[in-house]
Amino acid sequence: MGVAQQEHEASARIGLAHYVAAWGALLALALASFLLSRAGLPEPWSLIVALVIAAVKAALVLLIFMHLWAHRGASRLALGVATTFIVALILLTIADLATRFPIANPPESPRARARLESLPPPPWTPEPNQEPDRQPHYRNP
Amino acid sequence: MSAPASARLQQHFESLPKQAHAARLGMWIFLATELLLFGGLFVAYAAYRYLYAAEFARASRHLVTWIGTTNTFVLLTSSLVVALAVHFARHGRGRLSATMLAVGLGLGLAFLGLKALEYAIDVREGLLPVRFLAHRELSGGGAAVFLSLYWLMTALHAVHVTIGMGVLAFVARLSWRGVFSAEYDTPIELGAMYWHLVDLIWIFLWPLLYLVG
Repeated sequence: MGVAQQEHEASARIGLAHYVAAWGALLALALASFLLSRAGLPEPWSLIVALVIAAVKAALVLLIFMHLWAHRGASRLALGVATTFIVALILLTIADLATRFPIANPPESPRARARLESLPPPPWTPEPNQEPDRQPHYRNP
Repeated sequence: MSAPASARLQQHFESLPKQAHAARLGMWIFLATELLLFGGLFVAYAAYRYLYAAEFARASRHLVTWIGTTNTFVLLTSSLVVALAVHFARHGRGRLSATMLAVGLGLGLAFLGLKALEYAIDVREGLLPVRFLAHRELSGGGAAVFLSLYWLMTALHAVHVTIGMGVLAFVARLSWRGVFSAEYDTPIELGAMYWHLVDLIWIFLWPLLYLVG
């Protein structure tokens, strides 16, 4: 019995109860995500919690609503490859930004600003121009 | 009464299950490319959230969270309804399936209506992208970048919702005419997969845009 036939029969085994149960779980997870976001967790954790809950919801939608649980073969690979490369792209981009010299970041960003403000003041400040209308000197006019 | 399922078999496939398997694989590959399309925007979001974490949180609090949250529940329910439609189509209940697809379409329309209302509120409050940002409390690069990403990502998502609704309407018409059965359900399954992808993307958009602060 080939992959196609297995897939067809496995798809048929996902029934009404599975869909409704998945929907209930999705609503509960959405509610949990909302309440946890209002709970004021410290910064890295609030993002991690949000992403973990979103990943679980995504898994429910993929496996049950989209029948990935039943589909066999290269279908799973297509999705796995796309997800892997998006995650790699995000992680490597953030690694790039995290390992730059701080002032190589956009000037308004906290990392650049913190660095610029932590610099010691310059050893001298130029005198203000007392005669703003005066023509500048040139060595060889 | 429509032609029997065996009439759908193309001459280059050995059997209907193999044809359906190939169709599903093709759809998964297409959905993977759609994920990569949004992936680019998610990478931009990740990069700028890393750089401007506090500004993102502040700007996010000014979005209309109740609309975003309601839209989440609307889309999740529409996914259930569409999955049920595929289930009923497989069991030969074409009219019930088409009715469920119509409910899904109605929910999609509700999503777009709420989105339009939200955009109107955002424009009125001056929560606009890039240099058009004119909010009384928000200013600066970080907030402008957040709002640019918000507008881009949600607008692209809304375009996909609209396309998905077109697909569902097309498939609903086929289902009403009794075309689908346990042997042949490929169009409705693939159309449903596209709709579930739209829901999947919103599952990630919602916490990243609305629940930051």
